[in-house]
Amino acid sequence: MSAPHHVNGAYDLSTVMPPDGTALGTVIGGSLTKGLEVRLAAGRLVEEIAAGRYVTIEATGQKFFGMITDVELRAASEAVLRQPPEPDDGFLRAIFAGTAVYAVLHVMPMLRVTGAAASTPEPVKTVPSHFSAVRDATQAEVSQIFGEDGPGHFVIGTPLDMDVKVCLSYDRFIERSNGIFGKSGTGKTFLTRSILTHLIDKSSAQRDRGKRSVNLVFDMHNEYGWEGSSEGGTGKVKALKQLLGNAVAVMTLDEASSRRRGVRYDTAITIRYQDIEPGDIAVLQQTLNLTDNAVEAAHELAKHFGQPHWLRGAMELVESDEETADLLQRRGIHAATILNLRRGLQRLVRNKHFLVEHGGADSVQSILKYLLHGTNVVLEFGAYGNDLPAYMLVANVLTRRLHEVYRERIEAVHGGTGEPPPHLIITIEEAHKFLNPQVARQTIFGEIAREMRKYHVTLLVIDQRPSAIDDEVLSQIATRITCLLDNERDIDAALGGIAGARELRAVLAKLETKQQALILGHAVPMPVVVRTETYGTEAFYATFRQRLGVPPPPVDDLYAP
Amino acid sequence: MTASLGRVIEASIDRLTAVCHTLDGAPPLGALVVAEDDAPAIYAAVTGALTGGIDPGRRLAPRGGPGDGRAAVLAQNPQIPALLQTTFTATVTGHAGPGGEMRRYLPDAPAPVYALVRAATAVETAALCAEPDYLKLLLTAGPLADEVTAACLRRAAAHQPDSRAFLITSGRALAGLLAAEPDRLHAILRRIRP
Repeated sequence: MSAPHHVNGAYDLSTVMPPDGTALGTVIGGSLTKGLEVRLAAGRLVEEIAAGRYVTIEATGQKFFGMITDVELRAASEAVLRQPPEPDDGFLRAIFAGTAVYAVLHVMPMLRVTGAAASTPEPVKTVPSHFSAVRDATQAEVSQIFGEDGPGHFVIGTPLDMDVKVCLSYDRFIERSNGIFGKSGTGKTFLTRSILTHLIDKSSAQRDRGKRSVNLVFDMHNEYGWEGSSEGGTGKVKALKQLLGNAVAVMTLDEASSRRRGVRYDTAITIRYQDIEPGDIAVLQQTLNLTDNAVEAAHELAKHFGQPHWLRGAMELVESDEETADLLQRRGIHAATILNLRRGLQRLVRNKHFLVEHGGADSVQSILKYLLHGTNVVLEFGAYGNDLPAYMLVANVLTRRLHEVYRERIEAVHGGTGEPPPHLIITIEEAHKFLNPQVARQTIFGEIAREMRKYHVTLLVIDQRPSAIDDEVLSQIATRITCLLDNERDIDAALGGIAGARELRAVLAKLETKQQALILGHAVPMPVVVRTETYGTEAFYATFRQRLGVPPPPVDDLYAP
Repeated sequence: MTASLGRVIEASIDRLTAVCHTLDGAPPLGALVVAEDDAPAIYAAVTGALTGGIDPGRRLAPRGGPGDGRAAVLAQNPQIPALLQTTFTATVTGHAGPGGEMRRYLPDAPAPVYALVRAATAVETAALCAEPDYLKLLLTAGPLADEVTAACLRRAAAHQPDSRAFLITSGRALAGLLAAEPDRLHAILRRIRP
């Protein structure tokens, strides 16, 4: 490589870059915190450069990897801008491009590899020197960074403009809570389904039992269990059960809806009155328009009636009744509060056939049995998916109980008895309803998010309004997979606590509306914009059949008697 | 090798003046010439030409009547061509190194006086123009530098397999060199536009 040819402050990059078409430019300035400025090489069209693309910077004895976060047009002097060539003057435009006017790429350096090519990339602590050559990252380099598909990594998609697979670290992904964000219609559900499929697949590939995981999906809109709707609602795609067979159990809260949709569910779930605690009501405070006093009153009434009976007792209180008045007075509850609480509880139980006062199985035990055997559970809500209080109640009641069991088991393991249960990942949609600042401290979900992997339970939260999630909880969302967001506050929230977030804003705001996501955090060594896998194609299905070593039987045969 | 056009009668490090062997035999503006005569070749671009009396102290007297053309005047005064001479000036754009390699910067010494000057061959022109460094020397070729540069590029382009690509490459080099003088840059670019 020869020395750069200096022409009045302008560098003719054709003399310093390899003539293989991958040269992007040369470093002309920047800093570790603000990112690098890279002058685009002559002959490269700025129109071809996309924010989010990976680049490799060849420095002395080491390579840096970075991401293009912004593209800027500059002029060597103001003079040329006073006499710009006509738009159709190809001759002058060809002359000025890259000389009098040029493009500067803003590149955020993220990783570097020193010495041997096979060494592990490490976070950057300095920047490459002036005039280091910058080029497109090669497929081998991207594979080196993100790992290759195998027991420890699963494919999430391909980087923009590259034909190479980007993988997430399975171990790191199950280790902490993760989030999938994006405004409505950006493909969150498809992405989630794809990730869940991979998680289940990879879990079965783990030899170390301690690395196995199971998923519990609170399937609000019936998209994950049996089959999901594809774009525009015109077609159907196979969901987890059809794809992964016995590794998945579909449970339903709404048998009638499941039957109508032809879903082969494994079990119907009921929630017993006795399973609902006052704490579960606290989560629903906003949804049910309950006052703080009403929530407090629920706790008082639970003490009075006892846990199994408080719900019925609270709904049947008549404040005009003398006995009730006496009770309220003793417990310090105002009559108006009871009115508020009763109205809220009645609304909660109205038309919910999965709520049973007497009889009914212990659903938590039923779910737990599956989970402890390593079977993933998708809980369909059927028609209740549009009933937010129902969704929140069920998710909270079940998760709270499951968390208790997990905590006991992990404590027992710490005490030297028992086997650790498989790592549990709970998928919740509309997560901000559970994790907003008002309720995050009261819900079990807030607790799970904050305590991280302590009890082998983590969350996969799916949301379109990350800004509505409590900051403390959000800061514990270790890996964030973010589809297009255009609300400033949501973008801030999705990028909160991430180094170089300012530079990534531009990348995030420019994602395409479908099948593109910015992934950053614990499970990836550096932020990456990917074109996500196309879920639902025959090729996608075939991959799993092949990996699982299952011949592709007709779906009906899977459930033949 | 092409026939010589004239002989160097005055030379500095960056310029040379040559007398043509024939009257009006000066190479065109911007043409590349080579001064070499038992010495390494010095390449230069023609920046001007002058035809006048041999004796610089005596101005030519007018000849012929109002109706006589130039040929008639010369026929009536056959001694006149012997009293005239054509000289041309050229600005140095490069020279050959000891091994014959092309160097696009000033030589250590001026072209030898009385060295023969000939037109550069197509191969030499292509070799000199392969890198745009010589343009910096051309741009200092006096008050007519822009005209000379444009003429030189036009002529050199004719020897290139892809003249448009050559002109664009040269134009890009000029854009760097004349970044602070956009008027000059535009003037030259207008003159070389294919």
